Amino acid sequence: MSKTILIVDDSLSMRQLVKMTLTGAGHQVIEAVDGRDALNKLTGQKINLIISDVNMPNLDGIGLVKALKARNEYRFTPIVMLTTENEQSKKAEGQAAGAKAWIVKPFQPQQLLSAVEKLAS
Amino acid sequence: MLVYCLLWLGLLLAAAGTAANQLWISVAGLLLGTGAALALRPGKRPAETVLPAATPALVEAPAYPPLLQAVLPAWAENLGQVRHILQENIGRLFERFASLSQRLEHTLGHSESVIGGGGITEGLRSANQKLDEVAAAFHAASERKRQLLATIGNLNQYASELQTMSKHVQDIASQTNLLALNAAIEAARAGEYGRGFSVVADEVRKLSSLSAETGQRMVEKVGEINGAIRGTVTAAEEMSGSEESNLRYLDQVTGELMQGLSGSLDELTETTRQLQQDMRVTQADIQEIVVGLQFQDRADQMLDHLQIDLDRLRQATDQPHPDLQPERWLADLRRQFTTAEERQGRRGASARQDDITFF
Repeated sequence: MSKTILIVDDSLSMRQLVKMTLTGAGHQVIEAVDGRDALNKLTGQKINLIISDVNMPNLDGIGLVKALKARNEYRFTPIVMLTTENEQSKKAEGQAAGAKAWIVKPFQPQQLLSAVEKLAS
Repeated sequence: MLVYCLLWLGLLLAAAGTAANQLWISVAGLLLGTGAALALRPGKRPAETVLPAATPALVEAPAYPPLLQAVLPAWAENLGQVRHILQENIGRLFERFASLSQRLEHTLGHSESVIGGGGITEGLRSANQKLDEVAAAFHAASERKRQLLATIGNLNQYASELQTMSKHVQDIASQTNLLALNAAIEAARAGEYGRGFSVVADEVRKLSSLSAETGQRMVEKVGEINGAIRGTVTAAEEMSGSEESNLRYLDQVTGELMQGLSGSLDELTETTRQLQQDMRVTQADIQEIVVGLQFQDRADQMLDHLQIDLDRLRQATDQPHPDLQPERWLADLRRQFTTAEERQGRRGASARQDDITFF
């Protein structure tokens, strides 16, 4: 079933690859270039899942998760962190902020789609 | 002198790496050059050193060679250009790859659906089956017609029997007429006593004449019926012969068609199997390419950290007496690292492709 997914990444190439993977599976995609852009683009519409990078300018991924948890309409929207960071301390930080999953780049398309299938509300 | 040589060697390596599109050679060259440049700086002056009041300009002037101050911004600028070129070109490459991949999957999927299960193959199988049914229906109709002809043939035999019976009726009428004639003669001989019998004999003779006429008409009608039946049977036999010929032609044509279709079906089945296999290989290749293409993101992050560090070094060289402890500098640099390659270097394993954690 088609889901609406927000991709947040400052890397154009990563956004393109994630978008290609998701749209190929029939999902709708909204793009944002960083955490601040993501917050500006979330204007109350239904989002089934958010996939966010961690290291980004303006507002990083962890900051975005915290900001979303403070907004009633997106408090329960599942968030997947997709990042090159593989340090346990960073993962723990993401978990504490409220992320639902942590995928280390490079991602396998099938792996990402499985996570979407599992988490998208 | 050796340090200057190392500085120039680093510059050459960086230039060669950029020309050969070998990022690691460029990075190694930049690091070697940076190290040599740092070694070129004068030793840190002790805090208690007091410079002569007559030379205040020396205290204010940067403590690094002009070459380093000129080169560091250029390196940072070049590095920025490299990142820009990479992002721009790989972005376009990704767009084309995504479009190509989408079109390829769409085409393969469409071909599979047309040639595969619900498409031409199924249509050919259905046509094959229908042809078989049509041929069977013609054969069944022909068999029913043959049975009908046999029944008509039997009618001919009944009609012949009727004709024989009609002749018997005529014979009986003829004999009855003769008998009535004899009875009339005998009645005439009897005179007045035979008058009544003569009337009866006359009536019997009339009846026998009528019977003879009726028998004659029956013979004629049965003859007509026989003629009609024979005509029908003859026409039906001629039609049957023509129909048998048509059925043989139908059998031949349907046989050839079915053989042709069967061959086409075999080819289509093989093509479909090949197409499905190609689809699986293509999808796997696309997935591998998607994984491979993510190098740009990691490389860009590493270049970003390098650019930030170069800028930090450039700012440090602007200071007359910066605190440039190598360990502290490297510790600050490492804190920026975000990739496994940065933390572990080339000897370290690349990031695993199945590293996923659910919380």
